[in-house]
Amino acid sequence: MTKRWGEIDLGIDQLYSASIGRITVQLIQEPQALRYSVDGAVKVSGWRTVQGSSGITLRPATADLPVVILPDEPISIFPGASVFFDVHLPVWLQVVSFANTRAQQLLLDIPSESQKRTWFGSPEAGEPAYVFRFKPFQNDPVSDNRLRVPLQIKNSSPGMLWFDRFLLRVNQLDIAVNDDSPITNEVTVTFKGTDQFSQISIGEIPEYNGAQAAVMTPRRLSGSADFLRKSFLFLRDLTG
Amino acid sequence: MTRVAQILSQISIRESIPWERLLPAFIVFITGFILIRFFARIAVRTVARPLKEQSKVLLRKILVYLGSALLLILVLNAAGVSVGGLLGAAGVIGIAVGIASQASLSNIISGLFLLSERFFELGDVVTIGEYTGTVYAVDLLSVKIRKFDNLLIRIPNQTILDSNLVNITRFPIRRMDFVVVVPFDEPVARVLDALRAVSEHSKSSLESPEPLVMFKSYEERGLSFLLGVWFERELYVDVRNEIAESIQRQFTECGIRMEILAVRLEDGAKKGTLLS
Repeated sequence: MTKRWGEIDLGIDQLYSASIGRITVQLIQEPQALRYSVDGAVKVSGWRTVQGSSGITLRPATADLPVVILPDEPISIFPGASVFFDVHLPVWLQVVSFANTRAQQLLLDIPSESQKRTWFGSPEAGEPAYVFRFKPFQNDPVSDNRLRVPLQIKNSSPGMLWFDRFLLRVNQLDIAVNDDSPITNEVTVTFKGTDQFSQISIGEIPEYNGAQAAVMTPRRLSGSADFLRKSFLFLRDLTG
Repeated sequence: MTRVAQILSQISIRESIPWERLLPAFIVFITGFILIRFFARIAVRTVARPLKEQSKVLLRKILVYLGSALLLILVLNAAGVSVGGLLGAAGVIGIAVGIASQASLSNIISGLFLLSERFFELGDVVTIGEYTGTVYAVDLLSVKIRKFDNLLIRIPNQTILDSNLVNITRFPIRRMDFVVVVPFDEPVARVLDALRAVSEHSKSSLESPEPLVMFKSYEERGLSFLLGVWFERELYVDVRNEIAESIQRQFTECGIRMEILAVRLEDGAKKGTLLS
């Protein structure tokens, strides 16, 4: 099986091509810049200046917005019960360069298929999200452009839980690749009743072959712990 | 008039002031003015951070004007200029100017009401009377609207207070309505299904809130249907074009005719013949 995710060995004037879901990505390393072209459900093309051809990596990513996941039919969960799903979300792909710089350089960040948008919240206040419908208890064949999210829903309330939608903040999930299949951290949702906030916890990425999988794509949302940088930004914002 | 003349006579500097005293005063004033502007900016960005943008702009102007006036009085006083007479004259002139400019005062007060109402802020798209555009500036006397054809319109605050005001971009999402009219003989269920398919396949409109698909009314030309799709306000043009194109394509695929403004004469033998 051809490996899709990981570092790309790309020589000068050499073409790299990969098909992921309904898109085809082509990369050509020119002496001064990287030529990229995406065709299919999403179409983009252009040039990116990259210093050197080493360290170019194709990696899976989560969507740039939260995803509202909807089971095709509502699921009732009894008090004290838990259910486990594998939600197979459409994967995004990123082309990243680590060449000659300490920080990574994001060259491309696109979805592998177009996704329908929705609104989570009221018309006065809320946030945009993608919508994803899934069949929770059916083992349909999974497309090659999917990202597996292990999801557990616990009903810790005394009443019945009708699970019909959930806003999954995918930007808080890391991604590892096992056998070329991307997988994220485990997400556990604990429902405590309609009068209390549900608890959402992001766990580890499940072990693979008895070993902890290495994170290939860190979560999109990561706060900076650099106090000096934060202070500079605060002062710049104050006086700039 | 005699009183005004008396006050004005007090302003005159009876003894000349040497430039050695005026020059430092001038330098102090310039330096102080720069500092006032700096501290006004800091104050607005810290204390007034929660305020809306136009309130910040107005607050900064007030701080700069008041601070500058106070600084000028202090500097003149230090330089030996009689400030008492100047203040008296300013009061009298202020009253005279106030009487002469009632409309301006009315606009200033209207502006304060508008600010307190917080109906719009800089950058919002609004419709005021016959004008629609982006709020470009909110000043003491007027609000300036930049129309979409890049014309700048100045609307006095008093006019705005008396007008019906529509804030188009207040909320993050909006609904756009499309009305289509089909001939009377088109099956209602088929048209409704076609409109639902349009909203389902649309990329730029939102899945939730649910689109509104309904029969609207019987009209002279035929049956009128409404498709209302929700969208993020930034995608106005995309949604408008995409849905219009999608309705046309979907209706063509489903064999649904759209009624147009033309005279349709039909008989049993040649149903659908169009004579215009």
